[in-house]
Amino acid sequence: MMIPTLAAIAAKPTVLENVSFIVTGFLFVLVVLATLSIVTSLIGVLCTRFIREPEPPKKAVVPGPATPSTPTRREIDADDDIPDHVIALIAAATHVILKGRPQKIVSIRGNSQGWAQEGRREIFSSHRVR
Amino acid sequence: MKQIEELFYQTGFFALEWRMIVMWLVAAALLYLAVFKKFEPLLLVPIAFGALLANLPTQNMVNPPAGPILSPVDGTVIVSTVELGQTITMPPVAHEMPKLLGSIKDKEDARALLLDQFAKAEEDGQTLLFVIRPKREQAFAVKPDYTEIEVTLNSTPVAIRSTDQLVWANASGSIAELQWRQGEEVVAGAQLAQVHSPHTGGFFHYISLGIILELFPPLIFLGVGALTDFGPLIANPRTLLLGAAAQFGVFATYAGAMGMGIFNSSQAAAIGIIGGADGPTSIFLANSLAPELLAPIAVAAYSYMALVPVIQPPIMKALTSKDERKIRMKSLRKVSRLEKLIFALVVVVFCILLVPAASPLIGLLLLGNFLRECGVTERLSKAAQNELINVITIFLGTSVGITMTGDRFLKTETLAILALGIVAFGIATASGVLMAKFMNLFSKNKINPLIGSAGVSAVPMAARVSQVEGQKADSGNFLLMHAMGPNVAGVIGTALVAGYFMTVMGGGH
Repeated sequence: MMIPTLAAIAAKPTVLENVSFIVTGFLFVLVVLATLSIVTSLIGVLCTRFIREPEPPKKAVVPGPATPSTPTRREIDADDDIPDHVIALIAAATHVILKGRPQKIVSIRGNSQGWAQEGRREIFSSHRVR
Repeated sequence: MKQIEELFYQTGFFALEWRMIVMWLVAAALLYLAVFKKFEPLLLVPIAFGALLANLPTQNMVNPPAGPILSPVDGTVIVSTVELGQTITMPPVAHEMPKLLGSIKDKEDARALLLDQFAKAEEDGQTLLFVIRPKREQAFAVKPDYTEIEVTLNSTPVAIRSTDQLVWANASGSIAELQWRQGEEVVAGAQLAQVHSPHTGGFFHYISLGIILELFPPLIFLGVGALTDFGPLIANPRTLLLGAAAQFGVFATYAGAMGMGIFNSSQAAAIGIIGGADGPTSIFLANSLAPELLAPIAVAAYSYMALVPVIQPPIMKALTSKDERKIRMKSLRKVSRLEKLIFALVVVVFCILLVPAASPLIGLLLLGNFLRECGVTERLSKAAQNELINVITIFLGTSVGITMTGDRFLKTETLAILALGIVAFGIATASGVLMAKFMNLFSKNKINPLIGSAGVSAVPMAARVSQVEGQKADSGNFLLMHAMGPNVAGVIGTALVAGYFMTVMGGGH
């Protein structure tokens, strides 16, 4: 069976040959990547519809609209051992970092066990369970 | 006293030339940009340092080992200056001698250049071994004059055409074998003579084989694949179109190179790919279509890739309004591991089926990405992301830089390629930005046009430029991950264009 091959371009093509070469080439890349874009979208749709990833645990409180006033202790779900001035300090810090954009602190939790937990995590991750 | 004088003459000072000094300044400028301006130092420092080494009278650095002298074409040996046992000595600094003058149309110009080169060769001690008259007409951008030029070589008058192939000695040694003599017909690749020497070649001769044998480009792609998260592209697949649009720069530069009239179609295609801003692909294509232009193309591609933070921002600003630069894009959805794995497999199968010529690049890019995403080959993925790509980058950068010798760099052809390269980058950047603006006409979810410029490959430099420029307009706008989409699409797009060029031009390995 004869297999049709793409005509090779001459060393010194005419203007028309050059234009045809350029248009074909650019359209080729556009069409291939557009097709790939459609295929990728389809893969995305199939994967999101049929594959359920384990959902992360829901946040305790859903952030509401921004409040211009300083949050009070009652509005923030904070540990009892965190003093009021630390909460005020955290609120001021987030205000500065976010450059005054609307924000609401919903929860502040101390993590006194952090170093111990990190140590345990390192020990466990250094072993491979077979 | 005489010994001290002789020792002084043996130093490199006597081999210095004005071109070398000019190139020192070029290397110093590149080092300044890398070290103090921090323009892609990982690329620019090895390139600039290699350029400095290339322009010092080094020994045992780039010189090839003595070995077989091969015929470059099918044809007839019309001049042979060698005899069995003859000793050939290369000068301390060997110049690049012309292999043929066919690209020069005017006979008198060709004659003047030939006489000039012969005089220079005699002065420097470089030896012309053979002249081969090709059997078939070769491809030139401008049809050359085929009449013979009378010149004197070693006190013997010879008649040479501007299209004849000149075979120069490239290593010191003695002629151990002489297979072909004057008047005999040879085929391309036939061994004309064998030069013997106990000395081995220079360090960079062997390192540069990674470029010539096309080992480095696919290995760099393996590392790039392992380093790149395709998630942003998968989450927002329409950014593939931005990568496709940026490839217009490649085709526009091809047209420009053809318009200049000094390059043939294969050379123009190899130059055009600089617009893809993809160093490995540029090397890969140049090796296939125009190996004689490999050095300037590699230098242009890598230097401009490093200079993306200088070249792109003015174009991006000129083509966008302040409001457009402030567009905040919708957050990208989370892409699952399975989705990334399926994407890698689909792309590799689809693209290789379409353009088998680009398989080494596309195959290793997606292999690297698969290693990254599959989650069970962490060691291999880390090796590709760190040790492998770092080692190859050092070797590739210095090998590219070491080609920047003064006599090769400071000539019209190279300067034309450098000029075309920067035009290519500019057009590619503009095409990506304009495509983003065009897509915004029909889209509800607006695209910040600044990410369109990342459609030129240059991963991740171009995406970083989009991020920096976006933050200049709105300090709270984070475009980096959005820009990675077109950036990755640009890599795939450039590999596809290279495959298209190789298919149509008939380039192979």
